[in-house]
Formats: sequence, structure tokens, C-alpha cells
Amino acid sequence: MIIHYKRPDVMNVEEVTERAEPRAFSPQDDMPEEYRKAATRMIQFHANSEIMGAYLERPFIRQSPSLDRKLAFSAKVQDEIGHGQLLYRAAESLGIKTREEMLDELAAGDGKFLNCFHYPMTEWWETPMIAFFVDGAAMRRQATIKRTSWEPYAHAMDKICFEEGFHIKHGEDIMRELATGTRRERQLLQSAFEEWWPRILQFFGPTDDQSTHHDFADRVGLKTMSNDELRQAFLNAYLPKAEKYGLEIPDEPRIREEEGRYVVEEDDLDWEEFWEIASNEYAGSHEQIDSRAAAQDAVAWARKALDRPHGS
Amino acid sequence: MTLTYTGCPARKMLLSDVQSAVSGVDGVEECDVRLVWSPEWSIEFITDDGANALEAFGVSVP
Amino acid sequence: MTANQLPGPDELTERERKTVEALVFGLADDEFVLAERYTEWQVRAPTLESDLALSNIAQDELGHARLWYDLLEEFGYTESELLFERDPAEFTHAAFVELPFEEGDWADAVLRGYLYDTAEQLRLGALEDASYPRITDRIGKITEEESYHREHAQNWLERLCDDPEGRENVQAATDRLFPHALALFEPVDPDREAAIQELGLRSEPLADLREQWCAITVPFLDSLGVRAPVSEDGTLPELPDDHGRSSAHTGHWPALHEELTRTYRELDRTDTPTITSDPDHAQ
Repeated sequence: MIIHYKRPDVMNVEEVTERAEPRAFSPQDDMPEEYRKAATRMIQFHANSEIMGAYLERPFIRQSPSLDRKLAFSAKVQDEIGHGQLLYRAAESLGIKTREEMLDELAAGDGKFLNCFHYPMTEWWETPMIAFFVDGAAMRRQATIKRTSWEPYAHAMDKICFEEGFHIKHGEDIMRELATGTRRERQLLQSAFEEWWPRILQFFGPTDDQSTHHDFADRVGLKTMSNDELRQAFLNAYLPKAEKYGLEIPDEPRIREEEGRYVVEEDDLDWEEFWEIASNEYAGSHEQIDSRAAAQDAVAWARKALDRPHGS
Repeated sequence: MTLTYTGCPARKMLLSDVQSAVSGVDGVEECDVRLVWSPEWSIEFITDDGANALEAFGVSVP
Repeated sequence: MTANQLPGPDELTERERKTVEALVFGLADDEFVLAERYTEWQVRAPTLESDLALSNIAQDELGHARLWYDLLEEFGYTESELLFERDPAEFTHAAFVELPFEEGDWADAVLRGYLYDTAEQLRLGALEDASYPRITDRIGKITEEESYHREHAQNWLERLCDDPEGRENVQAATDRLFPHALALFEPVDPDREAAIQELGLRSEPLADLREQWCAITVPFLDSLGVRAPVSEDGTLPELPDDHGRSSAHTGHWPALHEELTRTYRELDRTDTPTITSDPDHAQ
């Protein structure tokens, strides 16, 4: 339960904007509701994504083709659940929603999470698409969040980024193994890449002028880099990496190089699908959300037993 | 060397890191890293340098 | 004890090696398969905290399996031979660890953990003075990690049994799992079992360990209002036919093995050189 203390000295948005800098605000500050809501939305999205990412990757603990890979995948899923836990706590510290409420929203299909985690992943050679590219993209964004204005969020990111570093190494290692494997392995990797590449490009969302929440989040220091800048940084680092592993970049979506910058032809991407996903209406969304909701329902009895006062 | 826990997913990486670090020391011709489980790792094994490094990362060593 | 110490992996006699193998295969396979089932709980347990606890426990069990398989690799086996290419029928774990569970049956998870970890504590205790040093130097580390598992399982059992519906579910899990858990104390092969004791590998016979296990688990469950299927005079339930170890596995095991070797087979990762390659298959 969250207890709201009403205090008269709530900051107004102008004051927040003025004072906004990395880790400027903590639960000791009386933040305006607009700020607390925007920060909650951002952190809840992040926490949900950790949980749904773990959900998507769990089956690969079993499917790992060696004991070391199995241990690495198991550790990764475990880390992601831990990140979710940490982030829900950071979101709770804003006093808008409890963790319980956020988890209920996720089960009910009202919680939003990363586009890439709405698609099914069934084959081992798809795993580097998440564990290398998507995690690499996430890393770009997360590194900038170390400088977000909500201190508990920035603090969570210290631990998360450290662990993510291992995950990406692991993902790159799986990719290297496939990329230097048999002809068939290289083909499977390439076809997985072609399927996932547009989704990966959409990871950062639409270009800035279409982003609804950016302006405010930017002004109050929650976000420190725009989607477009983040995508630039990602492409700068990961296009060469993809090529290094012998992956052919698909012709579409077209990516032009202009004065040292990559320009993605946005019309080549399926934004209808993206928005369908963003509202949890995609077919894959239903599958991921509903199967997780069913699993959560099935253990509701144990949660109930836990809630009972001990010894009664 | 030993590991903090049996299920450590970075076992191979740590072994090879130690191997190459030791091999790189002047005067070392050959290096054979062996993993042992006894004595078991405990928090007292952390050196002052290690404790400082962990401190810098935000983990305090009691 | 030092008088009867066995030498290192390369100097064992054939019989000594086979005996150590029989013991270690049982330990390794139990941990490995148990972990596979535990991983099914990740992101599906009642709370994020229990998700993490179960993930942690699965990680430990996999780590222990790796520690035991390492010893078998010292005898020349490769990981492929040990895990991915071994005929599922040759695995020697107790079928107890391979049994599936109904979605949401958290009572199964914590009771399975409790029964297994209590057995594991006794089993490891009886190996503390084993005549093969490669075994004894691992016991301390594994025992230390297992004690947390037991604590976790016991806490949950206590919480669940405070609740009428919870207790019913724990009772149902006990009825189903308890007879299977007895197989944890079954030998893989009676002759090898005799040799395990004769060579000073395990200090106590399995039957004694089973007795100690019952003396711990039955009263503990009783204190929670859960009855183990043991009669008044202490007669234990009969072992199920397919209990693993020396007998057949249940049909659930080949299916699980098929799943966990799927990527390995699809990627055709079979080119690892093997030292025991069958001459008939040589080109």
C-alpha cells in the first residue's frame, strides 16, 4: 500500500524543468503529479519489458545445446526477473502505482512493453536477435538513463547495465558460433536476421516528431537522448558488427548514409503493425500476454496463502 | 582458482582471463590454471583491492 | 580413512573407475534433470521473489550437475556423450526428478524441493569421507549451497499449510511424490552398490539413509498437518514400477530428453571427437 503524505511544497513543472539534471530528484522531493506519472509510465514500461523478455527467453534454457550455454541462459533469465523487481521498486517510489497494480495490468493486457517481445521466438538461431541486437539496442538507451533525473531509476540502471554487459557478450558469443559454423547455420542465422531486422529498427520507436511523450520527458530530464539519436548510436555500432559476422543487411528497409549519419527510410517499415503492438492488439501480443496471465492465474492460490497472516 | 558459486555462467571466460593474465606476466613461460572447490570461497577471500573495486561499483563488503 | 584412499582418475583400476562412475552418474543425473523441471517455474512462480528463488536454485543444481559431470569428463567422456548423445534409457536419475507437474502446482515445486534437498543433505553427508578425493573436495561447496534450498522449501511449505487450500494441495503433492522420492535411495545396480561401500566411497548404506530421511520428512510433514503415505507401523509405500535408477523411466523422460537435445540435433553438433568411438562406425 502506498501512503500519500500531503505536503504544501509540491514543486511545479517550471521548477522541475529548471532543476532537472542527472539524478536530481528522489522520493524526498515533492514532485508534481505530471512528473510522477511520466516517470511511472517510463519505468513501468521498462520493468514490464524485462519480465516479458524473460518470458520469451526462458524456453531456451532447456534448448541450449551445451551445459555452459544452459547456465548462461538460466542466469540471464534470472537477471531479467531481478531487473524487473528492481525497476518496479523504482516505479513504486513515485507513489502512483503499487507493484501489484503494475503486475495486474501486465497480466490483464494493459501493461505496455517492448515491441520485439511481442513476437514469438522458437528457434535457437533466433536467440542472438534478442540477446545481441535487441539487448544491444536496449543497452544504448539504458546507458543514457544513468543520467535520468529520477534518482531511484538511475540507481537501478547501475546494476542493470553491469549485468546487461554480460548478456550481450553471451549473445555475441552465440552469434559468433553460428556465424562461423556450418553453411546451414549461417543460412539459418541470416534468415532469422532478415525476419527480425525491421523489428529491431523499430525498437527505438518512430522518429521524434511522432513521439507523443518525448517533449515532457525531455524537459524534466527523464529522457536525455531522443529516439533518433539513440537509433543513430545503435546503427553506428551494430551495422559494422552485423557485417563483421557475415550478415547481409536486407535491402529493405532502405538505410541511406548522409553526411556520416544513417537515415532509415521510415516508409519501408510497417508502422501499422508497430502501433497494433503498442496497443497490445497484435496476434503475438495476445499469445504472450494470455499465456503469462494463465500461468499467473494458476498460482493465484499460492499468493493467497502467502497473504494470509502467518500463524493464523 | 575457485568461483564464488558452482553455477557461475562465466566460468570459461574467467578461466581464460586468468590464464591470459598470468601468461602475460614477464618471466612466466607456462601457465596451467586449475579450478578447485575446496577450500570453498567465502567473503574473507576478498582482498583490500577487491573490496575497493566492489565499493566503487556500489557493493559494500562487510 | 587415508589408508584406503583411491588414486587419481588416471590410476584407478577398471573396477574402481566403474564404481566411481556409477555413483557420480546418479548424483549428476539427479541434479541435471531436477534443474530442467525447476527452470519451468522461471517467470511462472507465485511472486517475483519466488521466481528469483527458484531460478537461483535451478542455477545451483545445474552448477552441481556440472561439477559431477566434470569428474566423468576426467574419465574421458565428452559433454556430448554425457548429455546429448547418451541414450535416455541410460540416464540413472530417479524418475522423481523427471515427473512433470500441472500448471500452477506450486505445492509440487516446494515439496519436490524439500524432499530432494533433505535426501541430498544426507547423501552428501555420507560422502564427506569418501575414499576418492575428487568427490570429497566438492562436498563442502555443494552442501553450503543446498542449505539455502532447504530453508526456502520449508518456509514455503509452512506458509502454504497455514491455508486450508494450500494444505490440500501439499497433501496431494505428497501423495503423488513421496513414493517416487523413495527411489532417491535406490541403487543403480546392486553389485556396484556393494562396491561403492566396499571401496569406502559412501560411509552409509542407502537403506540407512532412507530411514534417516523418513525420520526427518514424515514428522515434519505431520507437523504441518500433512500425512506421508507411510503406515502406522512404519511400512513404506511400494516403489512405483518406473522409478528410474535401475528400473525404467516414465514416459515423461524421453519426451523431456527430446526437448533438451533438440537444438543440439538440429544444429547437427555431433562432430565432437569421441574417445570411445565405435570401430564399426569408422570409415
